Amino acid sequence: MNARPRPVPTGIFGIAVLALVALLALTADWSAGYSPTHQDLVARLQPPGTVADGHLYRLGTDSLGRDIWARIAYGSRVSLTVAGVAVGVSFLIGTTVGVVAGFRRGILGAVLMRMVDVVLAIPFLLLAVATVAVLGPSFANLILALGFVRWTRYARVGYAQTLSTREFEFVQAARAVGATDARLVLRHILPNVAPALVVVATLEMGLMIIFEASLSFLGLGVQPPDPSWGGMLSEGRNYLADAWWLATFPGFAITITVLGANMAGDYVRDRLDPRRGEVARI
Amino acid sequence: MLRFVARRTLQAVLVVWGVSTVVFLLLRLSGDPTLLMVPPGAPAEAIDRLRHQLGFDQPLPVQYVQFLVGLLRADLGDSLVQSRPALAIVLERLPATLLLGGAALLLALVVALPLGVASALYRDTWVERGGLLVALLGQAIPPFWLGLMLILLLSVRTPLLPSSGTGSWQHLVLPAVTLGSLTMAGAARMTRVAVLEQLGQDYVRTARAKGIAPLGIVVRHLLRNAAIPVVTIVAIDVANLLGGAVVTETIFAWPGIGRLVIDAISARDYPVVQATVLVGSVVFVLSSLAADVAYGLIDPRVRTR
Repeated sequence: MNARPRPVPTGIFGIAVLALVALLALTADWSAGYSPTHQDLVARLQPPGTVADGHLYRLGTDSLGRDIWARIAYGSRVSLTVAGVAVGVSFLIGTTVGVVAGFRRGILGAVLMRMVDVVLAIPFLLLAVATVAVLGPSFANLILALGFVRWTRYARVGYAQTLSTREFEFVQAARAVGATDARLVLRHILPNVAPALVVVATLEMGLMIIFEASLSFLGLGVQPPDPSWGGMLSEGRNYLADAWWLATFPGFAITITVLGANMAGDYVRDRLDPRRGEVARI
Repeated sequence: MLRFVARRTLQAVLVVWGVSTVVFLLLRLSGDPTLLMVPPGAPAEAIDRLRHQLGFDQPLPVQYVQFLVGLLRADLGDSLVQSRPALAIVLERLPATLLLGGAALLLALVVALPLGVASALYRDTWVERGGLLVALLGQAIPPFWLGLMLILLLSVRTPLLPSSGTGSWQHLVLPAVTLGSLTMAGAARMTRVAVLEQLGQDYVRTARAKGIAPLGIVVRHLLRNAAIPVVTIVAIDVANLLGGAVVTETIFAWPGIGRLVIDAISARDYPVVQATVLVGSVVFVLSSLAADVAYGLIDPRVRTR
């Protein structure tokens, strides 16, 4: 909901949340306070606040007696890394396809943009799930599947922006004084196309975190015993009746992070998109 | 109008051809698709036999032509587990997914449209702030977590609704809420923006000047014009519903194509995986086509584009 610049606080709030999660990920060795894979079978399924062997389990333990807070802290590394790198990969692929198609136009442009239509026609999660299934579930393949399937939005936006930018007089002028195609694209077109693509990327970040968690939840992402938020939810699913904290806290972690990413994304869009002005009311 | 429909249908056929090519290549990403389909440690002769049986020992272009010829006869190969056509297995499961997706979409719109219109009309009040909050949360809460929390609160703690299975409308409630949450949030945001944009139009000022009550303006003029962008977004969201069904159906043991694809992956039944991706895409392409034809009927300007 974004017809006019949103008041700053939600944007600042979003950026602050993201910064906190990033800090948690960077300092997990210290902030977790405990090993995420250390099992204590005596202290299985303990509720939040339990003290066992002199260690306070702030958010309780899972079915193998592992510290849930520690697993969430380390899991944030997986979420942010996978989402961040996958956004980067899809950004690069989509921007290249979109800018090349918009700059060259003609048959190459038409073929590239029809490819975008085709990939867009396949329900994203279905394609991502099938891709990971073929490649085999692993950290790297998770990033590959998300990054290589999710580039279409950048391509569409990059294409539209390049088409309009290449007609501007400064581009025509640069061409007239003999600038090469590479120089035209890198020096003149990309800087003008980039803001819109950055907006897409910031809004994609939250979605990527949810997609990563979905695939890990389905057992197609990061494999146990490595902690990931989606994987923790999948384990917690079997203990809903006996130990609510298993499935509750990782979900909170995902929600807060995605909320932060979306708020920051909306803020960036409002700042970079000057077309959104005031409208009348009845 | 007929030419418009014919052109869009041709485009849809081309997209389906493209999708089937992606599906064909996808299985061959790993190098040797035969190895995907056999259990680990299978003897080499058995692997060779299966490779020959499935035609994976042919050159790639030959395989592609055979694949397309099969596609034209609605033959996507046999399931390796059930030894019957993969397409038939997927089509048997499709109605359950369509029912779930339809219920989710309906539920999402019933919440989103009033929410979006109200938060556009009552700007800078608690109505708008509440609507914003619901939409923000709806887009941030992962659907599968929402599903688990709904099960925890409404099935486990207070046994109001069943947590899995099918058979009655009660079985449909939790999965539909879970699957529809993202669509609801997106549609609410889109409706609000679309109504806000219409509020700035001259015809709204004219209607006000004529003394029509605000509610009359909304119902008679505004909604009709705001409908087109909203319908577009909803039509695009059908893809998200079909994808989201993979997760939702897994949580609620719903017997649709989403759960089928996960079961097929763990059983290494790749012909069924292929068929599911293809059928899911065809459903989406058909719904986009229907939406496009609908605009053509509503708005004559669309046809000339």
